[in-house]
Amino acid sequence: MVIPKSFPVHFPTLTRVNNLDGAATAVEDLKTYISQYLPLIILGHFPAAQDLLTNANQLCTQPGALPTQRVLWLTDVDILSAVKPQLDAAIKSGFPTKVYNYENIRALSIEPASGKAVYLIFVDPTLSPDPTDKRKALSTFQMQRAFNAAISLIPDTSV
Amino acid sequence: MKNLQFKVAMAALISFAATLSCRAQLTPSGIFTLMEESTSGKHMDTLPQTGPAIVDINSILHIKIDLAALEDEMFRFQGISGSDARLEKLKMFNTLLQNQNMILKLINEKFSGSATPTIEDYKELASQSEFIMGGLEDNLDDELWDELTSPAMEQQFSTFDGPYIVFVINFLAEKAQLLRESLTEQLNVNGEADSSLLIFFRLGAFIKNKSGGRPVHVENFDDIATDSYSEISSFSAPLSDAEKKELNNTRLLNDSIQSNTGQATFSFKQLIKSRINNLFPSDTSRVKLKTVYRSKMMELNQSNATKPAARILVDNELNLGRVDQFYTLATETYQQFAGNFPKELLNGDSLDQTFDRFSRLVNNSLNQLKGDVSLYEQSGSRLSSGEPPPGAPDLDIVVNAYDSYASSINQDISGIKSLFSDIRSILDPFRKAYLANEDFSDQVLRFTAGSIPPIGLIELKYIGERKAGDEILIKAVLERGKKEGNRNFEQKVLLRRYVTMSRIAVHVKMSGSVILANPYNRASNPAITLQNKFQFSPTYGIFLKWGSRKSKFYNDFVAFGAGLSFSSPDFNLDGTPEFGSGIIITGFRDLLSAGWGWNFGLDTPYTFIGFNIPFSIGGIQSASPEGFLED
Repeated sequence: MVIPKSFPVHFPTLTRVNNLDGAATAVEDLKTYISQYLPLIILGHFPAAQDLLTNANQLCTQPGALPTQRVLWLTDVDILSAVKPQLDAAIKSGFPTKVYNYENIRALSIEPASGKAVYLIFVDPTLSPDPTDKRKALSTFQMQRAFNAAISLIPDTSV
Repeated sequence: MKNLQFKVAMAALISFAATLSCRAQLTPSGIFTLMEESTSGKHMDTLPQTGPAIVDINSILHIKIDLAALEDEMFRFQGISGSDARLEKLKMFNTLLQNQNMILKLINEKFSGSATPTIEDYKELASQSEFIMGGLEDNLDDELWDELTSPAMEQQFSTFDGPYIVFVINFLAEKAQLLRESLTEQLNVNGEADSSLLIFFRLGAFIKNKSGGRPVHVENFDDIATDSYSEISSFSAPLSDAEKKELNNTRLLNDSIQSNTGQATFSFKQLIKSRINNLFPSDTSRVKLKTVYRSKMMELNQSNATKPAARILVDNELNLGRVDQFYTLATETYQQFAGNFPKELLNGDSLDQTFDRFSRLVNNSLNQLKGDVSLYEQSGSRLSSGEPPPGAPDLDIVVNAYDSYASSINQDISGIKSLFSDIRSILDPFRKAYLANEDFSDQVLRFTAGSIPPIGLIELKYIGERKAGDEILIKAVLERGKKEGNRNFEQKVLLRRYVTMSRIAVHVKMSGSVILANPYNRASNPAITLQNKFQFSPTYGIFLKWGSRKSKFYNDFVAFGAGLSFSSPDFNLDGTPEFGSGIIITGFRDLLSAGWGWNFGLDTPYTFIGFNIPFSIGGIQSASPEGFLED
């Protein structure tokens, strides 16, 4: 049984963009976060972050957005290191045959019930050997698709 | 071998008959999908692309349009090459946008206001959105992709009041519209599209039956007002007084129209028949002319002196023969027009032209003969005696007979033309209705590419009076320009599909008939004093009936029913009927029935067969099937 938890926000106005408390509890907190939300996890700093995160927040509040949709933006190096094995395992679990470089992953969405990664967004999609990834750079378009992929896989009994 | 030939001949005959019975229908696959939705909404099925399409008389017809395929067809009709990259791109955009209305509807209905969406609704929205977004990621060219994901567009979305998928739909729709404008650019004159070259799409429907037809409203596609609500009841119980009055008014109007048309047809055919039998009054003079002509020709040919006169008749005999041939042709034409009344009469003026040509031929022949005879007679004045040349009086007799024939013909033709003219003016309203039968009025809207609704609806309950067996003709066309008289005007029919309305849903029917009842265990019941095996008895049946969406034959001829029967047999022959009740099965439009019943007066079972045909047995008058055949 995972106890519900509140997570810090990066910006007071973006209520659906969260952070983790710190590296020490990152693994456990991430587990909690995934279990109580439908997350899109964004890794590291990226250009035009303010605009894209505003849009990401909007994707979580727009009509048609699941109430549990959240964006977890991880920028702290220690936290990123701490959760790397956990996220890498989620990717391997969701894409068992995919060839990828973890360092090239910018964001991923996770289906909460299974804990599997269901959509990947890349730092530089051209580096991915899979030609279908070539347009999967971070954008509002790809974030929406990432959420769509996760929603599509939610078991019918969940809310 | 003979048997084989017979079979081949029969097969050919059947196939020929089948060909004859097929009406011109055009059902291009891909663009239009016809669907039937039952009144309750429980039944939703796609109608077949070909073959009989049968729907319930109270249902709703959906005409779904594949806009991508339709716009592609429209621009090709405009003259754009199928390999034009813009057309390919537009087709792709339209294909991706095909579910936009479904997405917007889903958002409005499930995710707005106080609606409480289920997880299925979220998944449905995600799935529908993915159709567009996945398609865009896979197919959009680099330039548009970069634009869609550009910082400027990201900035735009941050201030957009709505879901991201709507933002994407708007982007795509705007690009599709730009492509349409680019494709119609060649039609522009002074910056505006030449409306005589623009391609318009129109969709309409007509109800058709033996009394003609009229347009019916197709939602989203015309301004035709809906007709009065009229549901064909599933229980044929008596109507309310108000409904009866309303129906009666409609029926009176309809009957009056039908009876006028029927009467006009009948009268005209009678008239034609009498004319044909006696065609024409000139026919007598024609026979007389031929007799006179031949006898005088032979007579004059017998003497050398009169042979030059005979020569004139020989020379003109060919003309007479031509008149004779044309006379036969005119008679046949006349009969053909009579047979196809009023269609042929309403369609044009060719009948008048035929008779005009006939009249000219007769007059020319007469003038030729008169000229020849006049020349011959003038040659007599050169004779020393001044006497007319030999045979001239005989020639005058022939000319007089010919003259009389020509006069009577001209009189006949004038009479016939006048008759047709009168009939035409009487039938002018019918002519207009007939021609308007399949022609779209201006109430049927014209749509250019980009503005076409994806679906049209025909609610059969709102098309006014209709009967089982009536048909709905659904027609879709492309038109170049708005005015038919314009030299650029061209029409291409994309869809002509007949849909037959039948009573498919289970309904109750009541009917009286005569049965032959057989109390089969009379041996164990001494009260039964019947001598014959069967006894005639009146019966009244209340039964359930149902139709078929697959078989017109079943609906028209078989049409089974099952229910209860109530009869009054008199098995003890005491003159007082007993009461009997049982189960009944009817078939062949209730003409035949069979069942099992129980005579409550004598406590005995019986089986029965029944006939619902108009005959009287033992003073019992069976009901006329006519009333029952009419649903």
